[in-house]
Amino acid sequence: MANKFPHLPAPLGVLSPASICGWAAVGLLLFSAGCYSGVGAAQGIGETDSGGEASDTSSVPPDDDFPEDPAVLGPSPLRRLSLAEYRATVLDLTGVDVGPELGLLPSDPRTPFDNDALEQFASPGLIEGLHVIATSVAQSVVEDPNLRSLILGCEPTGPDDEACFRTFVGRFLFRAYRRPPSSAEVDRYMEAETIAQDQQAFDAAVQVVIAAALQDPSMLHRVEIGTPVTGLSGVRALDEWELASRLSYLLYGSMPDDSLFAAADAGDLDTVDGLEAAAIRMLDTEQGRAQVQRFHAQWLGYESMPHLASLGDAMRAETETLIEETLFESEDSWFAMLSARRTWVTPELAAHYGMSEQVEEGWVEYQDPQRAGILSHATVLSNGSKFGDTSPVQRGLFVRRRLLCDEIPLPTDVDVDVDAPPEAQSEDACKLERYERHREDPTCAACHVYLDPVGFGLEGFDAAGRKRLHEPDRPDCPIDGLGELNGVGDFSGPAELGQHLQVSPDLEDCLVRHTYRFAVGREPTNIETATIEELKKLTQDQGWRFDALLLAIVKSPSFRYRVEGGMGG
Amino acid sequence: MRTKRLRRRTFLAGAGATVGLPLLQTMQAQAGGQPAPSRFLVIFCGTSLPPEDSFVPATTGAGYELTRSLRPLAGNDADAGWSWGDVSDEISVVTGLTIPRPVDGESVPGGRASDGDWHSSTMSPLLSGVRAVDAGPRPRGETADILVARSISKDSCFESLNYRAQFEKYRDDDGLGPDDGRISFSYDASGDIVPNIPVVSPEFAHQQLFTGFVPPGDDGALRRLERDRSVLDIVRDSTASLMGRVGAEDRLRLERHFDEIRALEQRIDGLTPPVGGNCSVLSPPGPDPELATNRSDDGLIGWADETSRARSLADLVHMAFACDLTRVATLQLTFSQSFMSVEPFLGIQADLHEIGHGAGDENDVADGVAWHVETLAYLVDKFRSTPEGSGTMLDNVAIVFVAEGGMMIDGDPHTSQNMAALVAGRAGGLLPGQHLSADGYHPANVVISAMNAVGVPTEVLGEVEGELPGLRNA
Repeated sequence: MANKFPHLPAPLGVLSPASICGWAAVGLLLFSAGCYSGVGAAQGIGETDSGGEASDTSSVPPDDDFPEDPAVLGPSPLRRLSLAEYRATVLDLTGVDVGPELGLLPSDPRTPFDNDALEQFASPGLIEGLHVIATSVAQSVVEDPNLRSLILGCEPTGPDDEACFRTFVGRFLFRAYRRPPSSAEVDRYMEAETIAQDQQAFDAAVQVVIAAALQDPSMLHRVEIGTPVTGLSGVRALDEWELASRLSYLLYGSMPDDSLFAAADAGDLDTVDGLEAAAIRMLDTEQGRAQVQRFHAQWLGYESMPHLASLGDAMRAETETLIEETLFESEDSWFAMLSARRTWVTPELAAHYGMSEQVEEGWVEYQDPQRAGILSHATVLSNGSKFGDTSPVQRGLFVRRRLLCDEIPLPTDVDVDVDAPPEAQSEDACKLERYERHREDPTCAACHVYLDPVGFGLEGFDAAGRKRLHEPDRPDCPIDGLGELNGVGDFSGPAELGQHLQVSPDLEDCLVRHTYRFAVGREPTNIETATIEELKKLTQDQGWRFDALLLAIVKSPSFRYRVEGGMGG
Repeated sequence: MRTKRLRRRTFLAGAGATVGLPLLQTMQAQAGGQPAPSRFLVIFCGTSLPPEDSFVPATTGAGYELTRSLRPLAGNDADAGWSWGDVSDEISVVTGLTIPRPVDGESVPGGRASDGDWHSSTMSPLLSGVRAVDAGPRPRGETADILVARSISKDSCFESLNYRAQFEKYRDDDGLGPDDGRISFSYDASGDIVPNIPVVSPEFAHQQLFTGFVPPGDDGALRRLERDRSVLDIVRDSTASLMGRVGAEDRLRLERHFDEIRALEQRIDGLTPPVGGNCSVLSPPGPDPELATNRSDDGLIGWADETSRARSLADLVHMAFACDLTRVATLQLTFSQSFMSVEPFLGIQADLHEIGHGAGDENDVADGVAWHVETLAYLVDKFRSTPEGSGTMLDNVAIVFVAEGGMMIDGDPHTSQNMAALVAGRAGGLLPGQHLSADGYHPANVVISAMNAVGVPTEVLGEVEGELPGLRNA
């Protein structure tokens, strides 16, 4: 198990007696009990159990902005925490980092996001892996006096101190479930007390509770039950705890922090204004900013790159700094990232790019007019290499699929090896010539006209984002770097491509679509186009600020309601 | 006959690394001379085969000569890292197999799809015998390993084990999804075909099989076990209760989760005792080999020492069979259309897929396939060296090695004609050591023979019918 204290999350990071009490402040809020008063806490459980045992007897009226057709909300399948979310949640819950251990489990596929609910399959490797990890975290906690006392919230008088045990169970389950546990749920965990008796050790039972809670499906999943909405069969309004979790997993990639729990408990999240206020606060935290970075890294395909670790880190730092600067510091339009005339480099990256004059890390103005903005970053240009070099087709596909959300069908019924590099007429043929058939043969050209010219417009930059004037090892094959975004215009290099995209309604749509997909954890269905259009309008009104887009999502009915079923089974 | 169930953690008690367990003999005696169980293993090679000359032996029948791709079967080559003995007598080579192409644009039974010659469109017919209808790699029927596991491994500690040696895909999303890293699929509760996700980490795979056992007199370990049981009690109840609260579709999604927790509980609680004295606790393989690009000392792309990963996972399959922890396993060596680097073993800066597309010559393609054959040879040698009953473990296994595509014809690396399978083991009368030319047969015919060999009587796999004649004495 990894070192613990250096990884303590922000809420636990400042350990004064007051803040230890602060950890328990949630218990205090919810259960009207003192920090160390286990009995009081226990008695409160079950009285605010809206999440624990949802009842179908009551219902709420829909809000004024509720859409006419509930189907536009899209389906809400049960979502498991992604492994990254699990890691962050366990860290927030216990102060233990399970990052290295999670590397042993089957990884979450990227489609392109790691939170795709329809790709989440239980497997023996996952379930036993989580069991092993949970067990090991539990042991780490009880072996660390600071973590132990923080999490227990009381000091047991002996192995059979039931009151203290109940306090601990209530507090821990609350945070693990991200809602007040029902009394039945607390009782289920109280069974662990027999272990304390048998083994004459209070901590043995503590370990059982922690280990069980960290693999409890109500912890592993974002369970949403909600309250039926009057007159709308199958539609449910999420309760305050469910909304708090939606907020925190969208904006933090982790469980709610204490302020968010407090806001939920105070009823602040019951209104759209309250939700917005909470989201605004969260976006302005380190965790919130890190989440925005994670979204971009997965969307734009540079979460992992085929480069050595230190160079890859330098590339990521360049892009992250631009995102931070544009979206958070300048609070500029998202599209401003396509035209930035300066970039932030480390000496290593500057040398890699051939910016020999740059010796210190920091911002530098582009000298090359072909470079501007995020599209000229090595992170983005690393996408779509093939056959040991850049692939105009693959780069074209990247731009089409990820930036323009175009569906490019796979070739069908073609009598050609579509997977091989295009055949050369002669050994000496240069790249443009080798892709000739894609232009000349009408069957190929029908699709490739959308792909190859985009890639060829980026050919002046290699698979690691370096400028080049001829093909690798082929001085006789100069690269003109001329390309075209079909239907929009000619371009050469990332700067001009960026200019086209900056005014492209397709990129606007695609930005919203990917952000929405990230938020809902699945591919949007056709009928959700109406929802996406609405989000677009709201974001456009705010000058395409990315935080405005996130806030629009948070405030939308699809965030506050869910539709039962609807995945089509 | 009633199977005597012993606790897993008792039977492996007190074992040191690779030391036979004295307790086992006692238990074996207690369990009393049952015949050794049959086991079934599928090994998958995620690349097509080289041109015929480099793969197909010149003669049929026994005593065939080894071609370039099959050279690892000879073993005994320290320079090549082939530390095993010659196993060519133990392996039958089946060539000339075909997965049919579409006719008039329509897939035929057991055939591949019409969406161009995509690598992945052979996956469905190859693994499930059911025709593909699009380029996607997800089979349209249950895969053979699942059918076999349900029949012969239901009461095992693990109904089956799914491992993959290639660490990652190493290439951007191709729009076909993640199924090219999976070769085992089954129906879920709602009747959809879903993947059985393989374990990729040898370190974790080892933990899963061999940790947490209770040495005699180790009270600490016993207490841990008690806690484990208590933990899983809570988790199981909690899962059941949650299933009662969520909607119908989510309940279906949780069903698999619940089943896996139940299976874990059962694994922790007990298993059928082993039938041989070969079961030992393997020493851990150590930390997983790192992704090469995460290191600063070399610039390899697409490599996480898959050679060592493949060997470690093969060791685990061998021991899982020897300990009767399972009777069915799949070992996917590489992804379908694999982008794993060949540089560490071929010295060419390219990946497996690229060497079939001009980055290497035909010998390189042959050697890329040979890299996969190495693991088969290594494992067969291990089974052969493990006594069981009056013979060796090899007498009781059926191993089928398949590749995603056929042999290169006129430089086309995407054919599904002239495919091949390698078969090892003597379970159910399988006849090892021969080269069968099986023109007109489907790879699934070979799989059907292997299924029957391990005691799963079936005439069909998906849409493919019949055993391959000559592969076994039925």
